[in-house]
Amino acid sequence: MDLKKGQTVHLTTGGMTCTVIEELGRGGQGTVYKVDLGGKKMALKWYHIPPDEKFYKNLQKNVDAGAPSDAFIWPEFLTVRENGSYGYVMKLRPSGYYEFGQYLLARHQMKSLSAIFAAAMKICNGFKLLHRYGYSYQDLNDGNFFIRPDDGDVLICDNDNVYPQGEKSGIMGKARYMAPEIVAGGIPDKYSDRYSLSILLFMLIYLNHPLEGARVAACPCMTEGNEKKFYGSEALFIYDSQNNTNLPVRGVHTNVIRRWPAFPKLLRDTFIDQLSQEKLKNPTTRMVEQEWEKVIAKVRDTLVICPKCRQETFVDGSQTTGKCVECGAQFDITRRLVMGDRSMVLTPGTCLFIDMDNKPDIKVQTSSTGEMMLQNVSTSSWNVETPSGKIRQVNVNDCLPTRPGLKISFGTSIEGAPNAKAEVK
Amino acid sequence: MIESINIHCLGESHKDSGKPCQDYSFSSVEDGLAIAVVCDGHGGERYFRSDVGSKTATEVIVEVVKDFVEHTELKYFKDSAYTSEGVVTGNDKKLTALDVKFRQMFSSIITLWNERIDKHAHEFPLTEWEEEHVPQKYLEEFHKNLSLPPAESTLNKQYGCTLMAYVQTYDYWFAFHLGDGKCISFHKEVNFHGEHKVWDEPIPWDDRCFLNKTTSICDSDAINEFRYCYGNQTSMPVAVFLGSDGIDDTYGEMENIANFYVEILKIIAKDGRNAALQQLRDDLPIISRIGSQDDCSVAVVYNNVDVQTNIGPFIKFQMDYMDVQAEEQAERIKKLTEKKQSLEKSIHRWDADRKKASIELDYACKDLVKASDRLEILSGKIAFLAKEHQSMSHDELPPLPDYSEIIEQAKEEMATEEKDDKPKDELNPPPASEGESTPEAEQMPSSEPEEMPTLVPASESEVEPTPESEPAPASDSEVS
Amino acid sequence: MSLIDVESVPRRTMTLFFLADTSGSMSGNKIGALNDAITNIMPMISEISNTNPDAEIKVAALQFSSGTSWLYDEPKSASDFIWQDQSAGGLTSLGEACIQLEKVLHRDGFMKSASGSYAPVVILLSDGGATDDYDKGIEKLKLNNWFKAAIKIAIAIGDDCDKDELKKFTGNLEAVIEVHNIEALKQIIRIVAVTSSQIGSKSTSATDATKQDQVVEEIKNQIDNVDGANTAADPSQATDDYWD
Repeated sequence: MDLKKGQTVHLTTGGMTCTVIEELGRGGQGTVYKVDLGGKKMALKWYHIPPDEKFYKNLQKNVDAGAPSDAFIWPEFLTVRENGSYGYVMKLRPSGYYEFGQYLLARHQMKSLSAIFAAAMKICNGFKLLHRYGYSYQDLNDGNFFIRPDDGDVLICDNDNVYPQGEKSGIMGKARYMAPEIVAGGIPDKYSDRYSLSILLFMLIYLNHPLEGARVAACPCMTEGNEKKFYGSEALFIYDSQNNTNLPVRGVHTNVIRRWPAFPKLLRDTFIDQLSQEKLKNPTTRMVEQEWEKVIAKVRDTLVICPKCRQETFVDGSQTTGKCVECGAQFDITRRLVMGDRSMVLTPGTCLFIDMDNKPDIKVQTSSTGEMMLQNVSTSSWNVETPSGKIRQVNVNDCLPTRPGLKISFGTSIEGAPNAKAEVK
Repeated sequence: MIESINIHCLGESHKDSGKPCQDYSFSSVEDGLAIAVVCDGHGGERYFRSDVGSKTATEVIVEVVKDFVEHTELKYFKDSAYTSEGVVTGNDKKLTALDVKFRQMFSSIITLWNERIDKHAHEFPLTEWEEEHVPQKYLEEFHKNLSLPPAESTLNKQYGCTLMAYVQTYDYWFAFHLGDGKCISFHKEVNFHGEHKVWDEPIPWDDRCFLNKTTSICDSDAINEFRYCYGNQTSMPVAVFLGSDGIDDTYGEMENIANFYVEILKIIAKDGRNAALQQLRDDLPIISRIGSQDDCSVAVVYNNVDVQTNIGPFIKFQMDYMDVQAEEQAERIKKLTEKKQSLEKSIHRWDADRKKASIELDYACKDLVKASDRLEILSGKIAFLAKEHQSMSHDELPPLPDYSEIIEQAKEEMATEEKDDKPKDELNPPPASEGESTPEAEQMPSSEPEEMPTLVPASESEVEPTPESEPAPASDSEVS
Repeated sequence: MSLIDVESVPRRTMTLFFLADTSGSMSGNKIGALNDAITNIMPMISEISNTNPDAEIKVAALQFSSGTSWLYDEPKSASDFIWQDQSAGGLTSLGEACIQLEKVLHRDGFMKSASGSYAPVVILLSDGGATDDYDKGIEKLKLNNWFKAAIKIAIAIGDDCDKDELKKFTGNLEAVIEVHNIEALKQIIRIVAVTSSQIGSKSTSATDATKQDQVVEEIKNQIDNVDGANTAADPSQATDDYWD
């Protein structure tokens, strides 16, 4: 039953109610309304056909547990069963975010490469926290994720299908995003979620599906049987190292054809590994979220600003010279900030991300004499040790020169990386 | 009963250059499934195998569509009234399950087409003709491509073409289009867009197709360039025509193309499918010659009973179309007459503007002649169509518009001009005397009052095929 | 029952636009040469139109000085187009000229349906910088699809011309032709008008280069034979102005 404007809906929490203001949108499962909850504008998802008791109970549990992070538009209140159905209340989705699927159709475009990798980082982080809470995300598809094109901020919606691991929500996701073992009838868990994560990351970065190459595209009609085959029993990565029968097709898989060779080798290697037949067939061998975060951080370490055209470009970190993909200019990339196994390429204008929170911690500036400087854009001061052993303090917004041998102790200035140390090389 | 016709023929300009017909068409009606396809290979030098490209695209479309129809459940179309989708970037609409199915079919067309043209390129080395006529840089591109993996090669460019298809089953219909050319549907009384008009343009246009530019199956983003539409039984059109851009460029305005298609529908209604096909075989090469000079293709699927019962409204559309033009000419005659009279008054004054005024007067007189000739032809056409209407339909016609008075007045006005003994040599001599213009340049037949204004060719010399423009051999016009 | 109805097959058309600067600085020899040249080339354009199987050429002309005006309120057939001698005086409203051109580059203006039409040719003749808001005009014009597809050639009369302005109009410096004396002006008007009409009114299927490029290439080939003319992209050939 549809709700009417002005209708009052009762919540399970302390006799609270909310009032329907207007309809916002309709999906397969339910309709989303804008509601007033004690003067605050919220969203109410109201099911067309009420799912079963188990689903209702799970929702209540999720409401009680609270959101894993601010990336989730989480169920905050559950309604009582009334008017032949029920629903739950969540925050309104702010404007400026677009559905992931819209990017795949080129209806919206991410404003920058750094925004793409910020989004990738945030999605990893969301999955990590979700799993840390013991949940699995069962209805993953291109309609659940909303991304802000300017900075890559991500919102994860439709969290009513988040279930404790090992339980099945009963609502089937889309085969395209399901792990082969789930397509074959298995129960989603963190391993299948990790598969979905790599699919999602691939699509975010390359804007095509990693299994949809010539074999899938050639099929005139995607029947259920075909879906089971292409995303389940015969799933084959388009760039599988052993089998080239499913390569991308020009005119169809434009984005991945263009981006695959242009983006860092580390990414290619990681995807080739994670989507290999072995990993597709052995769920427990799939990479954990933290590993993905590290890969993305390293990839971002080679994303720099071209000194000539000031556009973003990837450089090959194993080389001493970078070549801008935009203007073709060649430039020196020998100067690095090294932290463990990370080697951050320094060019004027480039921002460095030490931890995974998508907030720049260092900005590379140029001094009046033309020397590259590292500006402290973190939250507090650093200690810098010179090769001769002297200690200098670099306060927020202050700079230090990029002289080889300088060692930085970040102290507590970077939340996600306490006591991190790095050296200019 | 559902029937279909298709034809493609070599364009006049291709004859001179030795190029093959780069259009390809297909149509069939089998087991309740009707398909019509028109593909147009690009003409540029880089696209030197576009004739193979368009034939391949046609074959692939037919295969893929059959598979699609066989495996797509009716439920997807059941509740769909007429729905149309433009290019994918043009809106923010969420894709429906059916949209996703269409996209899959389109990706299948592109993929299979690419596979087959790749295979063709590897199996068929450059021909002598190609070696001789194709610029070196494109031959080199072709050679280089043969050694590249498909996704990196640009072989698809050499075979590039546009595509257009209409499909009809007992329960639903759909059409899709990538590139230029036009699809025109015919309806009983009300068209897809709810207008009281017998024809419509069902597939949304893509503004990137403009003048000689078109989107193509060989574009890097071809999948997002498909436009399509569909509907269930309730919106089933009477007939749907697909025409390549050789037809567009011949007839120009959409109404004029629709007018041409009604001519075909009339033959179908009167003498049946085979007569219409034969007429197209005879006439299309000539139409290409006097028109766009480009390859021309037409494919149509129609319900022959509906065509017969609706032929009255179709002819009525032609009459209305002629009448709109006649009204324009009548209006023009009125304005020109006023202008002429006012110029004649001022021209007797000797002043600086005299020269300008006399040029203007000269134009006004010429244009008046043209307008009244045109009006006469149009009003003759309307009368002819009225007779045709009478013989083919039982519908009542409203009284015919009468333009004889306006034509008469225009003639009188011109007669006064002839009496004017204004010395011609005071004007700038017109750069080209009328005797110099070739028949092609002279669009309007000279105004002989007795001239039969009609569908029949203007003069023998203009339409008689000369030996080198003999209608293309039968092999060129593939028939289902 | 024949399907052939010559009457219903409109001849394909290509419109040739002249945008002529008639500002005060054009007075004397320059305007005289311009009047003379355009009048003299009309029979040639007419000939191209009449013997061309592909398209009929129509001509429209806009003069701009302190204001702008079209010579006629619709394009005329090349075979009966009459150039009316212009006199020089006033400012250079090039921006307004762009606006006026944009206005007619529509189906309900001077153009017909895109099917059956060829991209227009626009020839701009000017001897000085715009005195009005040129940027506003050219930015609007550049959004027009017909203008985008058009063959655009600018003839810069004398050294006072703002080449950057003309480059914005044509899209590149190669299509800006500088002339430095009367004879060169006359010859270049002929070469540009004839070449662009020939190429512009032909079916494109023959070659892959854009028509604009073909025209520029052809003009480049002919320009070497003209004393006192060069493309703005190749100023090394430039000679001193001589207008008396």
